[in-house]
This record gives sequence, C-alpha cells and structure tokens, in this order.
Amino acid sequence: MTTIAGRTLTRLARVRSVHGRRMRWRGVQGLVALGGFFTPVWAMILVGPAPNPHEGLTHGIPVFARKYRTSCSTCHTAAPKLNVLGEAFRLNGYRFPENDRLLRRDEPVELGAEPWKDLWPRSIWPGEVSGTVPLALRIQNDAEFAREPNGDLRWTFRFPQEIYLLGASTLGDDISAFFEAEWSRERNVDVVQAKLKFQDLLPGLPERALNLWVGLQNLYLFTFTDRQIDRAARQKFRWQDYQPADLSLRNPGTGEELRSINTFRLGQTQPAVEFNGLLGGRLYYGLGLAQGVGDRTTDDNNRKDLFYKIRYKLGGLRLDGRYDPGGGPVLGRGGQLLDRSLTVEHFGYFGGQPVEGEQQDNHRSFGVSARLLYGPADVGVGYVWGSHDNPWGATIAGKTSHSDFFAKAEYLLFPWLIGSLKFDSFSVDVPASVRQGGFTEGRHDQTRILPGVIALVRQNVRVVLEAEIFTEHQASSELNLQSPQALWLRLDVAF
Amino acid sequence: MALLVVVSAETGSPPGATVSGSVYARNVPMAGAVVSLVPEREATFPPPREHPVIDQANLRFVPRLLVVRPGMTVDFRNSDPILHNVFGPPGPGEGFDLGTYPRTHSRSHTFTALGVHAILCNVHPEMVAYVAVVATPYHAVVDTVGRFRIDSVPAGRYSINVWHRHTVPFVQPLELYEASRLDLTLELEVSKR
Repeated sequence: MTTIAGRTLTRLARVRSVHGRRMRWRGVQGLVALGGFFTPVWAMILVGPAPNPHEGLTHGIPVFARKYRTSCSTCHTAAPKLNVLGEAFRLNGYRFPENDRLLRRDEPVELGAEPWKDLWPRSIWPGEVSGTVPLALRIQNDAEFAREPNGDLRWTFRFPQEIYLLGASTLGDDISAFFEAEWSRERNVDVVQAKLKFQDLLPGLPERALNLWVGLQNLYLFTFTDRQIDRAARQKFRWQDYQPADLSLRNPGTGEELRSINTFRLGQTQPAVEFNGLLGGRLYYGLGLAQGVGDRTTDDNNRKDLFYKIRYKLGGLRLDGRYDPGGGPVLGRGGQLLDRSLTVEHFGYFGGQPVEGEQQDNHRSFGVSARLLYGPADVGVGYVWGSHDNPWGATIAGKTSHSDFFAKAEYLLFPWLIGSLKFDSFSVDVPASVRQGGFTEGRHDQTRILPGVIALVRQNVRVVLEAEIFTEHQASSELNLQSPQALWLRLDVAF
Repeated sequence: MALLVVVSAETGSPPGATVSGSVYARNVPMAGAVVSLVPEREATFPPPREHPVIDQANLRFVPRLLVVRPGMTVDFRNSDPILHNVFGPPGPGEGFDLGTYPRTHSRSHTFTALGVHAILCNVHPEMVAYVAVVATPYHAVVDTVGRFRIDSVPAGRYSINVWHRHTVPFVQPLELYEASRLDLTLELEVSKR
C-alpha cells in the first residue's frame, strides 16, 4: 500500500472544517498535538506507570486501583502520601480530572440508565454503585523503641498497631462516598470518617466551583503534612494533636494540679458541612461548619465551629488536574510523576468548647504554610498559632496561646526510597494570672527533629524507619530524655 | 475535535471509495461510536424491508446499539421469563411507549426522525439501548479497538458524522474521489455529562 501524506493528499481527498476553513494538515507525529491532552500523565493512567524495580505492575491493591486497574503510584508517591495527580483526583470527588468514565475498568452497577436524566423530574436521576466491593484494608505494624525515664530503651512489638477498613465509591456523576474505620490498641474500633461529596452542586457555575462535602470528616485545614494526604513517614506535627487538656500545671505549695477538660484538637475528624471549590484551576477555597468536639451523636454546646481554608498553587499540575497551555509533567527517572510548583495555604478556625462551671472556652487558630515541589524534592514550612480564652473555666481565669513552627524536607532518592527530615517547635504560653495563682510548675513546650527513611518494598508495602529526637521537652529532666527519645520501624501494607 | 487523514490508492480495488479509521477520545478507543457518511447532495435511500430485532434477554437489550435508516421498523422481543416494557423518551422524535409484555411477545416501532433514540424499560431502569437513525447506507459501528471501515462509497461530497453517548457530536465535511482510500484518525471531545 502506498501512503501519501502532505499536500498531494488534496488531490484525492479534501477535508474542510465545519466553518469552511481548511484543516491544517499535520504529519503522523502531529497526532499528539491533535489529541490535545495526550500528555504523559494520561499515558501513565492508561498504560500504567513505569514498573517498580522490584516487580512489574501491581494490581491487587485497594479500591481505586481495582476500579481503574492501575497501580498505587499513579496517585501516590508512597501511600498515603499523594502525588499531585492524586490530590487532583481527591479534590474531584475521587474521579480523574479528565475523562474519568473512559478510564475506569470496572463495570459499575447502574442504578438507572443515563437517558433517564432526560426525563427528570419525572424520573429518579440515575446513579451507580461499584461493580466490585469498594473496600480495602490497611495494616500497620510498629516495632517501637522508646526511652524509659530510667534511660533504658524499651522494645515493643505493636503487631498490629492499627488496622484500617477503607471504603470509597463514586455513586454516579457527581456524588461519591468515603469511609474509614480504624482499630487501634488505644481506641479499639473507631469510625474516623464517613462522608459524602456532592460535586458541582449548582448547574451553570464553572466546573468544580462549588462542591458540598458532608459527614464525619478530616477538615484538611492544611494539606501540607496532613496525615492522609502528605504523610510519608509516621509522626504527625504537634499542632494537629495538641489539646488544652495536654497542658498540666502544678502548684508546688499545695500539690494541686490544674488541667483543662477541653480536649479539642485541630487535627481531629469531626461531623462537618463544608462548601469548597476551585476557581481558575489554581485557587482552592473551603468554608464550613463543624461540630467541634463532642460525642459525635449530640453536640456539647448549641453552636457550631466555623472554619475556612485557602490554597493557591503556582506552577506544575493545576489543582483541577490540568496543565496550563505549554505545560506538562515532570517525570522522574523511574517514570514517576513529579512536579515543579509552589503551594501556599492558609486556614482559620473559630470554635467554642464547654469547660468547668458550664463556661465556654472560645478559641481560634490560624495557619499559614508554603510547600515547594521541585522534581524529587518536597520541602515546606508552616506556622500555626492559636489561642484559648478560658481553658480552665470557673477554676481559674486565664487565656493561653500556642504556636507551632514546623518544616519538612523529603527527597525521592529512588522511586521506592524517600529520605525525610522534619522539624517541629511547639510552645504554649501560660498566662501570668495562672502562675501568680500558684501554678508555677509545668509547661508544654517541645522541639523535635524527626529523621526518617521510607522504603517501598512493593507499591502497597512500605517500611518506615523514623526517629524522634527532642532538643527541648517539658519533661526532659523527668523523663531523662536523651537522643533519640524513640525510634519506630513500621511495616505498612494495604490491599 | 481533530482529524488526521492518510490516503492511499490501490490498483484493482472495488469501485467507490473506502473510508476507514480510528476513533478516540483522549486516546481511548471509542467502541460503540456510530460513524456515518451523509451525502451533501440530497439523496434518497429507501429503507430495507426487513425488521431488525432488539431482544430483551438476561435483563439487557441485545443489541445495545442498532443503526437503521428512516422509515425502518424495529421489532422489540421479550425473551426473558419476566415482564418487560419498551419505551422511547422524547428526543429526536416524539417518544413512544410499546407497553409491558411477557416472554415471547414482540412489539414494533417505526423510526422516522433522524438522530439517536434511547430505548428504556420502565420495569428495569438500568436497561438501555440506542437506535441511531441515519439517512445513509454508508455507516459503521466502531469496534472494541476503536476501528471502523465503510466500503464502496460513491465519489462525492459528504459530511462525516460520529456519535457516541459520551462525546460531543462530530461533524466534518469530506470529499471523496473514486477508488480513494482514506484512513482517518478522529479525536472526539468528551461531553461534560
């Protein structure tokens, strides 16, 4: 067969655009340009990423991997740490930003065929449920080496430390669900998240401009260093777990102890209603109401906490999962998806919590962070400040404030090996009125360095080695803290 | 929406042009897309007399996609041991409802309006079929690897139309010469819904 290309084609066939303009002829290599979106990101989804050096493509891994027949590294650097495409997937209600229904490989159970949409409101809007059971397990085993007050290192096998049951599914075009239950040695079984995402809430608005997420959920005040989005190693930063009840003060004269009953933590999951969306592909906003602390069945006060968050990403893959014209992905030596971008985030949280004597402890927190992704390097800094007006209620008047400066540097040495170094400096100001009231002992300041190494044995099996080195701690002398205070070896598997 | 063409000529080939090609959206083969070549000059193609059949078997319409010409009658048979309904919501045409009927029964509908008609069963909302009514005998359904082929197309000016339920309709003018061989690569735009 003779193939003729170029201008001579026009003698045999002529193609015009619908507006009467001549099509511009391009060579075979022009297909990429004509395709428009045939970027390596979509190529990775369609044909899978570069193989792990330890084995070929893995398939038997959790819910979304099964749904799309793709491997963890499509969306994760080292699960649960998301790469930039994984974050766009999450923001889009667990759908790939482009073309999701063409990419999925499972056969959903349709709850009504698509043409029923044309009959609405005389029909129920069609949806779907997953064709496979949308559940996955994650098991974490820890070997913990922690220093005892007498200076000895105690060696404990926490096999397992935590087991997660994860469920996630899209329920049609615009609705999705996420569920997370956790068994841990400390809390036994606990439902951590159970939420619904309603995407593109109002027709007529730009795509993804307004979404509604409802349920028990992680508020993701920062995505930077978040436990589910950006945590490769084991430890969290202190601001996420701090609660006023952690601050234990003592009156050496009377032996009396002063401790708040306020157990509110910024990093806790909460029943919440959140409106969020993307503006222009790079600006993300979220605004919501949360229950505050409480038993999750009845609110413990008659008010809701308010939070907002803003994020802007400069460069790299946009938050809507698209590249600007002329842009494209950065691929690592092993084919992994990398990025060159700067992301800044800010949040505010305003709440109130009942404390002693039926009084309220009103509190607020603000945070700002910046994160730079530059190929295999992932570095960032953040600062969180918060204050409580009345943490001890009727017991003693006094206002506290706390702050946390934290930083993280990770480097992808190989597609399967990440070096990690974190720094965390947390302090709580104790009011003069409380010190003058006799509670002169006790503080809650601490500064830590957390070096670590994360190795992917397989895409869904990782080993984490992380140390915790205190350079300052409120109980340094009491606990006889030396370096390192603790060392963890974690074996983490999801399937 | 984009189109790439490679043309070849063969000696001893059958009369008329052959149009073949690949249909993609975002580089995914668009299996089940309907490709049709509609002559620019008005032409009448009398519909075949036979009645194609869409069966209802194992809670599915079989085939799920049927291409017919205006005026053709389609028989809708129920082969399941349960009641099925057949109705077409208003779309290209006015819509119709053949009612609900048991196994071995068959009812018919004549399609006159051009376009793609959805066929539903109101007893089983997940069942769906599509009847594409095209005013030309030159059509093909894209296979699972994204390919199609239409043979023996007389020389002339046409519009090439592509329909797929997940893409924006594709329409491009196309001029064919006698014995030309076109191999097209069609890149469709995914519809938002």
